[in-house]
Amino acid sequence: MNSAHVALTFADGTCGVMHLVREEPIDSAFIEDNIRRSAFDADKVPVRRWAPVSPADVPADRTFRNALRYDGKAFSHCPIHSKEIALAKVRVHREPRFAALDAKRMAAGRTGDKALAARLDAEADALANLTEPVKACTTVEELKKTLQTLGVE
Amino acid sequence: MINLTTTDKLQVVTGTGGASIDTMTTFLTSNSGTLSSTSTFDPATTLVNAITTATTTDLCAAPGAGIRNVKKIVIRNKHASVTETIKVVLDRSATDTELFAATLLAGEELVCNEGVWFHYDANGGVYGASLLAASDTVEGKVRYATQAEMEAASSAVLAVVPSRVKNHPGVVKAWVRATVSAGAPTMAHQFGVTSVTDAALGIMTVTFSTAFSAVNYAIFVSAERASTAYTVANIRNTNVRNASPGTGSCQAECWDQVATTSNAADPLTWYVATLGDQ
Repeated sequence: MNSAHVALTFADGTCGVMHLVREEPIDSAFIEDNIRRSAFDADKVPVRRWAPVSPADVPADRTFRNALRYDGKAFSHCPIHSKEIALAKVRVHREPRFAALDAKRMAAGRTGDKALAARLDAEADALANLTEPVKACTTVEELKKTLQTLGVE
Repeated sequence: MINLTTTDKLQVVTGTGGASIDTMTTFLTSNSGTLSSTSTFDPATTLVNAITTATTTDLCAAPGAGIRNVKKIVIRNKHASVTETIKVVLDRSATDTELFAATLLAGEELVCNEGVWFHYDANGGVYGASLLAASDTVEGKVRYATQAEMEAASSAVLAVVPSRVKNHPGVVKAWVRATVSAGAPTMAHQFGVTSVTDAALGIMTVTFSTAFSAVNYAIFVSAERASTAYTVANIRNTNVRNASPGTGSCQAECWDQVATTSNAADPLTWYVATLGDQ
């Protein structure tokens, strides 16, 4: 069985990686036929271009997978898209924490515990500011380290 | 053994006409009215005919006296394309007794050796006994089901060959076990799938070797988790991606259970199987 990996550049600029197999040698016509017949989201079609790649060249880290780009020679991560992904991860991470703080804050209000309320307000402010270090990052590596520091999965 | 008396003759009836039938009959005639170890015979005689119409032709006439012992009869259809129906009869005092009947295709022949009949095909092979059709309780001849017959899924007598198993409506048409190990999607095992594409985090496109005839096929998606822990980040839910099924491919999607919105997430292994008409 013959096998090949191909990088696809989608209409929205993102990329996909296709793995093809067949008994006969894999040629351009077979690759293009597979691309033509494959279902992708509407914003990703038509596929702009494709190129054969080695699986070893595909980044193994999937943290910023959707920010992956392929310029015909190498894979790289779009920094803007990577930051959007990182910010989204932070927001998802803090959402249940906000909810928990809100519940505690309301309880503190009911009991009139002003000290606890103030501490909870400070925690909420800190949670709201979790995006700031992400916004300050300039590289994908920095983004990754910052997410690790913040405990964001 | 075929013995003719003074009132007997052997005939061939050609029922269709248009073919080209050659016949040859070889016989001995005894000099007395009975056969015994002391009987004497006239030398063997051979009669030939060339028949092209629907008619009745003598293969061997009645002996004037004694007994005629037919040793061999050959009836051959030497026509290139026309089929002829053949009937060999014993005419005894103008009353026919049918001895043998056959349909001779172009190039076929009927041979009687010492009373034993053989029907040869155009390649010299002898026709065997006609087999009964096989069934659940009868051993016999079977035919392979065509794709249409497999798709109809109604026959209880046709046989299935490996390449047509997939045409039965109850059989999986395509399946794949794929990973995105180290970032690159890889089909570990598959049938009926030519490619998988890692289209985005938690989204896998599966493209079939043979397109389905319509998009009303069934898709089953499952996933292996990367951990046994039941934390929300390790949960993997799978679906068919909305509006993705086409005749040539479909998309599977996977997500975890982090927060209320969930996150797209890769499984350790993707499993996709499809059933329907291709």
